[in-house]
Amino acid sequence: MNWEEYFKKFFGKETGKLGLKSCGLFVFREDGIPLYGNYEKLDKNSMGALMAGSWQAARALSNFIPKNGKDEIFRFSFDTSDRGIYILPFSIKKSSFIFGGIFHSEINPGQVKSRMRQILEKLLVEIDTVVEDITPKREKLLFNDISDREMDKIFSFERD
Amino acid sequence: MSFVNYHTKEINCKIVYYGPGLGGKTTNLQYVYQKVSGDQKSQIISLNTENERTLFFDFLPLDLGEIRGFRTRFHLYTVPGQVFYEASRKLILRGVDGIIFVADSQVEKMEANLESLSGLEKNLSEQGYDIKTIPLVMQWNKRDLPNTSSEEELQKQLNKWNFPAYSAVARTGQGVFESLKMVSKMVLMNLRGGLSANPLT
Repeated sequence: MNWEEYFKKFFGKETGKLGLKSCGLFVFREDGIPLYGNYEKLDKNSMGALMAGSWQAARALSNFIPKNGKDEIFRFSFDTSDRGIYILPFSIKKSSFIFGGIFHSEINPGQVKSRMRQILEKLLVEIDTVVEDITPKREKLLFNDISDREMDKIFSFERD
Repeated sequence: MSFVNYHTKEINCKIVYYGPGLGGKTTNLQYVYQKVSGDQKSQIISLNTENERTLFFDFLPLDLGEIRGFRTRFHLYTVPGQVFYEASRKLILRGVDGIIFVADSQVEKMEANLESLSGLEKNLSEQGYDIKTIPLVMQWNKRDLPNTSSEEELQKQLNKWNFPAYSAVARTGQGVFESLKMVSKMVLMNLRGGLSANPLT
C-alpha cells in the first residue's frame, strides 16, 4: 500500500464517523503535490498549489512572531462563521505534509477544526505502526537517457 | 519536489519560470495553457495584483503523456518578478526541479536581468542547490522588439554556465515549448529512482 491508498482508506473511514460531510479534506506534500482529496469538484493540483502556498507564506510570516522558547506547532485558519479553510501540518518520519479542509454551511466551524485535529491525531498514531523506513534507497537515475522522440511524444498535446 | 510513485507509476516535477519583472514569465505560462488541449487541460491559477502583475505565483499543472510506463505531471510555477517580492520567490523555489530563466532581451533591461539572475543564484544557494547543477534553461525573450541586445551579448552576460538557451517571443509562442521541452527533458534525466517511492508495506 502506498501513501495515496493508505490516506484514501484512512480518511474514508474516519470522515464518515465524524460527520464531516460538508467538508472537503485533502492531504498534500508540503510542496503541494496532492496525495488525497475527497472533494472531486475541486481540482486537487490547484488546491495543492494554493494550500501549500498559503501554508508556506503563513509559516514564513510566523517567523516574525517573537518565539517563546517552546516548540510550537502552528495551524492555519481562514474562515467566517460558517465557511472556511483550515490547514494542519504533520510529519511522518522525515517527510512533511499538510492536512487541509475546506468547509461550508457549518453551524460550528470550531467543531470542524477540532474534528480535523482529532482525525490527524488518530492518523499519526495509526500510521506509525505501518510506515516503514521512507529514506530514499535508490540512488540510480530513473532514466539513463531520453530521446528527443520520446519528448516529442509526451508534448504531442500541443495544439496548432 | 520530484515525486516518483512506483505504485501508481506517476512522476510529479516542479518547474519554475524565473526572471525580471515584465519579462514574460506569465505570458509563457498563458501560451502553454492556450495550447494544451483536451484531457491535459487544467486550470491556470494566477494570484495577481489589481493591475495584473503577479503577486505570489501563477500555477499550471500540466499532465503529459507516459514515458516508459510512467505518467508524467509537471507543475509549472512563475515567480513574481518585481524586486520587492523576494520573500515570495524564495518560497516558490522550494523543491524546484527545473528552472526556465526568462530574460528580457531589451538593452535597457540587462541590469534587471543580471539582478534577477544574481538573486536566483543566491536563493538557490540558500536552499542547498547549486545553480551549476540544477536543470536550467535560458530563454532570451522579446526578440521581436527593435532595441534588443544581441544573443551573443545575452549569452556572455547571463549564461556563463553555458545552459541551453532559446530565442523567444512568448507573446506569439516562439521558443516557449522549445524551452519547456528542454528543461523537462533535463529534469526527467535528473530524476533519482527511489525518491519517496513506496513507503508503506
